[in-house]
Amino acid sequence: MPFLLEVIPIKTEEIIKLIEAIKNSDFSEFTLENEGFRISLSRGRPVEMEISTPPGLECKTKKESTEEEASIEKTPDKNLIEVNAPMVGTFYRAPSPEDEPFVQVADIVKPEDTLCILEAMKLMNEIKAELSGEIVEILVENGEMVEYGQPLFRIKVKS
Amino acid sequence: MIRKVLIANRGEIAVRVIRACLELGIEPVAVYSRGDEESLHVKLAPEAYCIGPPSAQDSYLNMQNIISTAIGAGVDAIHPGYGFLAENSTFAELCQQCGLIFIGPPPRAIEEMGNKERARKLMKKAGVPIVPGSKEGLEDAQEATKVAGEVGYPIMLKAAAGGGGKGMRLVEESSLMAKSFSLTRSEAEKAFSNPQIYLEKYISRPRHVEVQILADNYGNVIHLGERDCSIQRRHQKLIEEAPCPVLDQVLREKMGDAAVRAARAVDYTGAGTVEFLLDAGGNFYFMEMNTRIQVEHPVTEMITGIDLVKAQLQIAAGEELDLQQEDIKLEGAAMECRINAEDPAQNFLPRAGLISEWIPPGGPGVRVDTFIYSGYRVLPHYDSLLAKIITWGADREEARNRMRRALGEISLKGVPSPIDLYQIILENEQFCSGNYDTGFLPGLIEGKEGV
Repeated sequence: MPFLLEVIPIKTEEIIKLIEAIKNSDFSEFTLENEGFRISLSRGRPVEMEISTPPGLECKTKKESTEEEASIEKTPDKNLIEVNAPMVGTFYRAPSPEDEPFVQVADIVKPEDTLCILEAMKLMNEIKAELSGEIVEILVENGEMVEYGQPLFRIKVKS
Repeated sequence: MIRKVLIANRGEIAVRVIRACLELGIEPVAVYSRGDEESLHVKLAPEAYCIGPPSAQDSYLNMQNIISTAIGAGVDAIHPGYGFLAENSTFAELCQQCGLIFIGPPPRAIEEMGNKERARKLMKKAGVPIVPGSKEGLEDAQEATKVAGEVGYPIMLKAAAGGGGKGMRLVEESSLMAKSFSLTRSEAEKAFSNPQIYLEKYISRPRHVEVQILADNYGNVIHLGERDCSIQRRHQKLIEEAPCPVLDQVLREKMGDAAVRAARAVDYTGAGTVEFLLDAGGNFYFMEMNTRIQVEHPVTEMITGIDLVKAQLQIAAGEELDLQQEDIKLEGAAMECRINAEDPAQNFLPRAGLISEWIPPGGPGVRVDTFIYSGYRVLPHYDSLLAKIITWGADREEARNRMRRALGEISLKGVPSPIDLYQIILENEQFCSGNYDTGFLPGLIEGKEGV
């Protein structure tokens, strides 16, 4: 991420100098905010330092989780893989309302197995597992619209 | 009746459309690419859906994902903004087939105006002046000389299959025709494997003057005056203003009438723009019609008081225009400067990056249309337009001074912009006089290069 360089980092010596200066002053609390960081100092308690990243560096939506978020935050277990929607469409668990769902939780699937259908532009797109493992969770309700990249299934792969 | 609209776009125009929807009590639905999650249009819309990866081809141009989202979200209509799918007749047709209102003209109007040769023929038939010239495929230099004599020198010889400035030659007088003809022909043959050439009257140092029109579904067509967009660089507009400083009321009405005829010729509906070349003698020629809302539309809104995006939504909803031509009054003057993330010192090279600070201008008569904020990261995948600064004044002088004041208030850190260049233009004697043409900016830049 070369863009990170554009945020001028505060140096450790500068922070120490700052703390020294505050120590010799009458302030009970001191906050400094600049691009990419925030420092809060207060007396009577241990020195507290809080460094936050600028908003532009966080790259996720509040509305729906992205792949990155899913793999980093929700699935710390490396054997848990999420299958994401490759297109916008309507999610169907079975080939037709009368049929049984393609898969259920606890089913063991192979790469060529169909997990669900995404209907887009009146076309039924079969979504394959593309890996072997056990269905741990189905994240979308039948008939729900899914957006691009939305997680559909959690599969536990055998290691 | 339109209750919910999907905006198939991003950036400032998506924000603009969302605002119009909210003011009309219409629910806006935003779509975004992965990477665009932090974009203002996503934050402003109550509903937003991810439609693909960052590349425009797979997201904002992905018709299937956009239509699927529209149907899934239960919208009545799709607003395409400008660029992306705005002038794609296939998309407009697809919307119709899926029972969605495409906020724009009928697919056929898009198609007819999108084909240059066809549009020229239609305009000629409708009595809209076009640049005089020959048919495609001149036989020989004799025929070329004959046609050139009729339209008057100087003329431009052009390769029928040409484009991008290739296969074009200026001919100043008849004695040079024979040589120029064979040169252009062999150039056309080599560059495009097609030796066919045609000729057109050469309009030297024209102004780019365009007329805004509005047309409803019931045959009412009106024009909202003109915009002068002659401050351009490689056909990219940078500063626009209205009214055009050299147009008098008689010429304004003539051009306005021609624009209305152009729109009628293709059964146009919605908001559209007819672009003309205007020469120093007050002759104007049809260039093309943009069948969508344009970047510079606020300039017209400022001097007419009419909200063009709301008008688009109302027309699409089947409402009849409640305005007659005589209701359109132009008041004062307006200018727009496009703040692009590009470096004028490096041949206007676009630059992505983190905007570490953005303080927009304000105060009386200043409008800012933008989607950026401090901390926003400009993505390399899309257009470099960040913001539009529009100023209004009781006269051109006030609008110009306001623009200088407004540009001076801006603090933009993290990406380059042409703000300094705009300040130079706004103080330039020739610009101040209003007596400039499309050659002005290239000349100014060339003149500065030695400095």
